[in-house]
Amino acid sequence: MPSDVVVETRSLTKIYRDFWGRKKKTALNALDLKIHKGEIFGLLGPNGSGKTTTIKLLLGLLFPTAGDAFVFGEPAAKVEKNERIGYLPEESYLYRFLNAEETLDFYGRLFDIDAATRRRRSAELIEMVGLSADKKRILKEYSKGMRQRIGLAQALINDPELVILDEPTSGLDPLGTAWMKKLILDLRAKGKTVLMCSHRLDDVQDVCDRIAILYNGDLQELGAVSKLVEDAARLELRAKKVKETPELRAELEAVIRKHGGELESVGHPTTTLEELFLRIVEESKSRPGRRYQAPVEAK
Amino acid sequence: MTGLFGILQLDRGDPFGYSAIVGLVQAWLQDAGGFAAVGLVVYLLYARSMPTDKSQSERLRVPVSTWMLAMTVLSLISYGGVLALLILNRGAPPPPPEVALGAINKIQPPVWQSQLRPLLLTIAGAFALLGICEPFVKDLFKVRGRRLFALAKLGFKEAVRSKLLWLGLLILPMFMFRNVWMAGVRPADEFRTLISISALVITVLVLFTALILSSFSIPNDIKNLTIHTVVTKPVERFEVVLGRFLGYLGLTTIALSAMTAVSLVLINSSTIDAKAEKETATARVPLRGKIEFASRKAGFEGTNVGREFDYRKYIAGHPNSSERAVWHFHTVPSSMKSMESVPVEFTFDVFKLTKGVENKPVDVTLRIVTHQAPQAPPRPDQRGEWQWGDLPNEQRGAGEDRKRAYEADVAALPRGTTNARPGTPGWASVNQLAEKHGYYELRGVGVFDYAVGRVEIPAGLLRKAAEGDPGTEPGKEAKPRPRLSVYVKCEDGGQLLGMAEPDLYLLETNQPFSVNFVKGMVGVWCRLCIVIGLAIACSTYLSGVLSLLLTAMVFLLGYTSDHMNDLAKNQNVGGGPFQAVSQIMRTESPTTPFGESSGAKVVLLADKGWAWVVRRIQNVIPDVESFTWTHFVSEGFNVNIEYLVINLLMVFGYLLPWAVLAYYLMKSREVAA
Repeated sequence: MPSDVVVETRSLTKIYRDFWGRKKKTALNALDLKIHKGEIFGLLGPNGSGKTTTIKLLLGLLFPTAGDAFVFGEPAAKVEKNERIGYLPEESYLYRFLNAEETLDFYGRLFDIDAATRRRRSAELIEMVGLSADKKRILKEYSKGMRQRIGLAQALINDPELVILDEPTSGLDPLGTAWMKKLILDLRAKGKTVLMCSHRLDDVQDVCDRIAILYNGDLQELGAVSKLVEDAARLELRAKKVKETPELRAELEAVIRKHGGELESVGHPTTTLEELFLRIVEESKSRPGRRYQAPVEAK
Repeated sequence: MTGLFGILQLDRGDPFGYSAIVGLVQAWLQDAGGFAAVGLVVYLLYARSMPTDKSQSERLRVPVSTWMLAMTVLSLISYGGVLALLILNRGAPPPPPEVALGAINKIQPPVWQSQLRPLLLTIAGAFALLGICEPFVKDLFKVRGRRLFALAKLGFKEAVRSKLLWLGLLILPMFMFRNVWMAGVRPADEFRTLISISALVITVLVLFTALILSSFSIPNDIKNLTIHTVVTKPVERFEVVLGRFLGYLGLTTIALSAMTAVSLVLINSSTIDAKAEKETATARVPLRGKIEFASRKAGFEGTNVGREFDYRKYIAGHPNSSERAVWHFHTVPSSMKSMESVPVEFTFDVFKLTKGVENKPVDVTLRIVTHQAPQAPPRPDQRGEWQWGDLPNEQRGAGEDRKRAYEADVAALPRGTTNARPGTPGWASVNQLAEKHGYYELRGVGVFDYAVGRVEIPAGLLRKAAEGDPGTEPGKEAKPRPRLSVYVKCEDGGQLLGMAEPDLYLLETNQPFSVNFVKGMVGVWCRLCIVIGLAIACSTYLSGVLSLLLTAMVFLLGYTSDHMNDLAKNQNVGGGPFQAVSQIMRTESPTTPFGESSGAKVVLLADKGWAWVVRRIQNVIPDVESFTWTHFVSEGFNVNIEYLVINLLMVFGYLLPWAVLAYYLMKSREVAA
């Protein structure tokens, strides 16, 4: 296995069976993929497509029916490989009777991290996930978003090389989602490898370098996001400080026809609702009590 | 004790001491090894059933090493040898002593058996254990203290924050309403009742809490998916099991200590009948002997007066009666030799054939002799008095010479000296006389029914008893002669005196009651270990509710060890279940002879098979009574440290196979399935 391959699966198959060994469902069917160091890899697919099963097989929470999975070149069943992995489950499955500090201290101990390092990292991570004011409250009192944040902090307590995120934006509001996506990009910037799965296509498109699309346990598509979403049959032009007029449209149509093409549409581009929301929130923070004013250019 | 030490020890038997360790280890190797062999074969068959091109992950998950295979082969060869010996009827261990149907099945401490069949069985078990424990031991080296501490602390915090420990406060109402439940208790029984009830309440509260906590811990982790964030860290699966065990054990140990301390304070500050307190609020360290019944009639084994469930045997009272109950002591502690006098305490049962006189004790004579002054039963022409016997290899009549010398020395003493008591001027002379001749007799000892009696004997006797080598009984090379013997004679006609082995002892010393109470709680702690270990082992595979029920069932079955033992040895009145069904269908009474027909033989064979199954079941059921010391504490007897050490060894021996089972179950479990 090349040294930059962090995760590799070879014909990885998982069949769920009942107590008597009868086949119930093929959750994953002969999956072959490789994830390289420093990339953000997304597993995409509808519910029940095999995304979470893949992650659980990589983490040793499930055992493969056939095939094999390797992380850092080690078989997935090997416990030692977990020292270099951080894992955020879909729901933040943490002990609700512990507070944030105790939670990070507990998981830090599981990594056999010494007390001084544990304390330092806990403080940094609590600060990073914005829970400093709530670090003494038990997790039972946390909102879903706060639990997701502390969940992420526990996934990073060991400063992992590979971060596995199962539906990382689940339960987060748009602000939290944006924060999470920025954090994922920051992790890549620090040289970490990120494997995430989601059924929120926009999240995956925004952060992932490569994706695998699964459906019913089968790999349907695998490749770089930019390549996969590229529409090579069309060309998009963007311009600013110009008004849409019939003359402009006619001229553009003529130029395009001259080059053998066909003008499909001319109009104002739309932003995403997420971008609009974030802009409004930022504006509200800087001008409290004032109603949001849309930028003139956008009109 | 059963457990995987495999031997039952009844509450009426002596607790096991250090001398039993070798035998216990052998029995453990045989029993635990048998289960290990079955487990090993099942495991290897499972591993072999997987495709030959199995993944590296699967090879890691279900490892099969050369060592494991070699141990399996060696174990199976040894078991083959056992089977061959069984078929050839060679190398069998000595048969256990015959016990009459329905009689008390008193179990002797296990002894090392050097015959070929038990030896091979031990070796086979040891090989199987070495094989099955290999991955377990390897993974134990991966256990890290920090992780273990974190997991233990987690369980600790969970329990504390769940507020389940408030249950412990239920100890207080017991003392608050003491006057209510003590209302019907005799003053003489007040102290022992208070101790018994305290111990019972503590035991129930602490075991119940432990059972609830440990049965649901791992299943809840799996149900709430919190285990996903634990086993995806570099945590060995067994660390989760061990961490939970240690966490709950630590917590419940603190709870047990707190309840013990509170109970001790409240017991010590309670107003109790002074006599009861004096008798019970102590920790006697007794030197116990072996009882033997003897008379001029050979083969006399004491009289059975027909009292059901009475394990005492009786001697007839009369001045001319030759019937004696004799306690033989084979060792003399050095601490006793330096004393001025040694207390002898006894509690006898009086069975009256005539009404007697009210408040008049039964007249008893105690004769204490050393091995230098053996006693011989009277000949038919003599009256009931036992005679001075000859030592082995001594000329005939030497005993009579010693008797005359003794009588001459007594005659030389000032009148009344032989009746001197400790602390009086004549006691030194009594001591000297006893030490010189190894003989002392106390007449007119008053005995009340079931009341603790106490006399003082000169310590010179023990100094004399400690001298020389007693050797062995003439003609019975294997039977060593005792250093000291106490002969009990009942002088009152029309009265029978009932005695059993624990009824008389020499009192070595008294220890503080509080220390003894705490030692008694060590037995509760051992049971705590069993409950927590068992529940956590079950919960690695079963749901919380099923773990709780199974643990409770296995543990509570431990309290029926007597009955289980009868079933295991097929010595119930009415036979085993097949015989019972057969007799019910033929409307026969259980005491009807079962017959010799071929049908009856088949039924008896089926019952033998059933007894074998029960013996195997017995091996997984802890003999909980072996860890119960409440009766020692409440009756004012010291709980010997030796017994507690054996208790701890037994707990370890019992829990180790469960730990290995939990290791394999946890390792093979898909926690996310």
